[in-house]
Amino acid sequence: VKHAPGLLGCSRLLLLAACLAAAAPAAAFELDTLMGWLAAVPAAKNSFTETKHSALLSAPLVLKGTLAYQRPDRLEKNVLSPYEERTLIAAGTVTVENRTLKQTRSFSLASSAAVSALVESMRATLAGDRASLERHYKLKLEGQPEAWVLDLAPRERKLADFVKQIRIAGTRERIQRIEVEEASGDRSIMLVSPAAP
Amino acid sequence: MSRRVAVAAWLLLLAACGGWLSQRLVLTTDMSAFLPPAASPAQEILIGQMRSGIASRLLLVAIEGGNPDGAPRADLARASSNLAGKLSLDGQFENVANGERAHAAKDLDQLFALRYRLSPGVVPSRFGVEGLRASLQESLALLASPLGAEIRPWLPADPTGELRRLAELLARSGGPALREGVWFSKDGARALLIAETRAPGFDLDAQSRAIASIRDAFSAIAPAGATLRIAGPGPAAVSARATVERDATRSSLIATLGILAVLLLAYRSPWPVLFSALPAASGMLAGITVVGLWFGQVHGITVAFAAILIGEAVDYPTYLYAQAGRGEALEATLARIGATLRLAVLTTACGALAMLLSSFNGLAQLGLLTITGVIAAGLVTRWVLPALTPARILERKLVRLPFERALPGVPAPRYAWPAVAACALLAALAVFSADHLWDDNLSNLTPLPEEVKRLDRELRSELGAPDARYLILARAADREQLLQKSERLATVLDSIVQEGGIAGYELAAKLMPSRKTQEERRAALPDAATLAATLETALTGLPFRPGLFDPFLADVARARTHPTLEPEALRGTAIGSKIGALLVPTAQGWVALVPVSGVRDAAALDAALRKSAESDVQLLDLKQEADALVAGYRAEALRLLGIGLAAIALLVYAGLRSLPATARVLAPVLAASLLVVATFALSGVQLTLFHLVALLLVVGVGTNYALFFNRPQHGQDDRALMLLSLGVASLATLISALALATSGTPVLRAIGLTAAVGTVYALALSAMLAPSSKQLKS
Repeated sequence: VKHAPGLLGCSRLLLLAACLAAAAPAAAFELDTLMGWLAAVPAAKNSFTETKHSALLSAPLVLKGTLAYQRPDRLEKNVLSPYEERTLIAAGTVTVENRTLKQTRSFSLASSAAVSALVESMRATLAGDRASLERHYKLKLEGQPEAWVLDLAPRERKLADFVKQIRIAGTRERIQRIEVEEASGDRSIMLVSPAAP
Repeated sequence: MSRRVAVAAWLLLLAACGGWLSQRLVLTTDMSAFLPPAASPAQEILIGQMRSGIASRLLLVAIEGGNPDGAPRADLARASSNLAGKLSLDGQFENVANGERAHAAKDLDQLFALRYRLSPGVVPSRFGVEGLRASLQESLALLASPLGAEIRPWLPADPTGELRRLAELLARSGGPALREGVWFSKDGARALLIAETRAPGFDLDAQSRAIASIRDAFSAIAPAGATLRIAGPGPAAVSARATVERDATRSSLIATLGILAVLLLAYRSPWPVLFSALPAASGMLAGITVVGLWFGQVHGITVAFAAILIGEAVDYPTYLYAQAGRGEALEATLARIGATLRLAVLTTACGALAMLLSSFNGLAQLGLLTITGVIAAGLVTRWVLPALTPARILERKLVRLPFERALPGVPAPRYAWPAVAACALLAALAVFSADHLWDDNLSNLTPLPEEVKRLDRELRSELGAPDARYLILARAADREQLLQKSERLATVLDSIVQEGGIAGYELAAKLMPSRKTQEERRAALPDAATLAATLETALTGLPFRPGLFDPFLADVARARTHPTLEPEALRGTAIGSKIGALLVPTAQGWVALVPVSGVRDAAALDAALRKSAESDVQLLDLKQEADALVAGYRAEALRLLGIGLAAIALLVYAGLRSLPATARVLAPVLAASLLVVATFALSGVQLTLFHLVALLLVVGVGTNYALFFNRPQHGQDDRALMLLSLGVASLATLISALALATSGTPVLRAIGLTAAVGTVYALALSAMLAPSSKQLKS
């Protein structure tokens, strides 16, 4: 009896060990597995809320709208409030149509390595393109399949001058949250939900 | 003249020439020496720009390294970035660009400071409530976009986005694609850079130093498997100089060795060979010295041309030695052949005299070299060789060639004339019916290997360096008037761009506004109190932090007091060098060069420009101008050829004093020239000026052969010796011509090929048309 707690302790330890053993596949949740799931998504349409915190602003700027993605490189961000602006990224070209200001501009992503890498963080994650992500960022994956967090740290100084870190969170093949921390201290958090706006 | 005096004078002159050459010789390879003097102000600008304009100072640099999957390699982009960084610290370069923003940082800072004077966006409406509010809304959207991080640092001082507008203005239209943030070729296999040297394009020593610096800088940072290639006018000229020098040396060496071998075979003794070299060597030395003294410098092509001269000058001692009868004193030989020898020398000199009259420096050099060279060689043969040649050395029996009897296959003289006439007729027909007899491409006159030209073309088109077929020239008495005229021209051109008549244009006034425009922009800026109040109203309801735009208010207030900007203040920046390239001072005032791209209909563009009623605005088709240059060049060459032929004909008549005899001498030569041209026409070789120049030489040499064939011969022995001397002489000329014909330099190849083919024809026709000994005696 005296030993019971010990035994109990032992059995608990065993149980814990068993649990750990059972959890081992989760710990071994691999980047390639995640990328595989993401790459399998042919298209997605979501709504988003993006909050931009900036030292230039007296209050955070909150953007609401929709996000549409089509495999492998078409991405459309449609801001509906507080102004109307549609940004289409396709085949390396960015077209911004601001309906509030009635102006359209387009530019090549390649014209700036930093902007290109920034856009690529989102595009390549959506497309499950690990090679492209790793060209620009050091990757770190944490969590389980149901709740993972992917940290992107810029490899090149050119990019690091602008972006400190990007943290993407999701569940299985769905991205739920993208947080960009700029070198200036500005921060934007985009929450993505499958519901239509 | 006593023999001693002749030899002493010869030695003295040789020493003087040698001394001068070793101290003062200046070699040049500037191809504009072979360009005609400009016939119009437009051509003057064209040639001026080719020699020292900004285009002549651009080095086009490519870092190559193929990628199996066709994607641009990140390591090439890094190398481009590192190379540009190193070179921009190097004092030899005015400006280095690879498309990188970071690289243009120096430019950006300067543009930023000058934005209220340079930006076309500075108009009164932009600084009203409506205009400012629109700018602020746009800035807010940009801040939240992927561009936000880049825009952010500039935003507080530039909410109206003038810097962005300027950057767009500067971006090259049709320029190279940016990949990985730097310029890349379309196929992604080459990272591209442009380096502008401070030294002008024709300063070849400075250019080769700059090229070496780029290579050194690259070798320190080169990624594995990547290679560096450099094109542009400077590197092309440097490589041309190397090629011409190498070719000149090689051709002379081959010619010398080949001719020595032939002479050795003929004389079977080294001594006559050694003495035979003296006239040629003296002629070359004298020729190059006189050219150097007269022109101040000697063109590399002139020196290479001297190789042909060796072949020609060796002929004279050959005529003398080979025709010296067995045991005959040279003085006696000279008494027999002296007159013919003199005529031979003078006809060649006469042909070259026409070149000396040319208005092109390069051709005149070739003419002077030939005249001095052959006359010096002739004088040495006539006066020095008899004095120096020991009697014994010619005693050894000369090789006997089977020339004594008519060669099998040679038609009897009575059939030869009609046969040659028929051949000449056919040749004339071939020449006149040829479609592409002339090579009118100016660039083919440059001594550049095709590979160098191709790289230059490729990089130029990929870098969007204007291929500039069409160029608008605007002229005015001073710079301010020209800039105002350019601004009016811009409105005309903008509407043509809108209509799709042209794809785009580059104009200095877009980057460097006139004083008048700068004044208008200054007037568009409100005073501090007004602007602060307007901004306050415009900011209503927008989430910008209070006081954020204080730098903007301060900069506008400062801009209102800035002095007027002059182009000199922009030196050393990308924008400054662009202005320097497009705005050129001339003796008569200022000229704006406006390269136009994507011209759909040149005639319509010309009409639109005329309709604009601006004076002194002119559309130039550079291809047409260049073609006109070449055509003018060709016309002059043909004229010179005509003058040369006429002079030779007169001289031959003066020497022979008989019309039939003159005709007998000239007929084979003219027929041979015609056959040469026909051969080129039929084999698809297009004629350039240099073929014509070489043809003059062929006429001179061919006349020599014909003269000797037509000289009265005394007996079978005399004729055999004459034939032998002609055989050896023509072989020598042929060898030196072939040495040039294998050259990598198009100019030298043209001369060599013409001379080689021409020598064969001239000798064959002279032999066929030669009168029999019987005819000569009668």
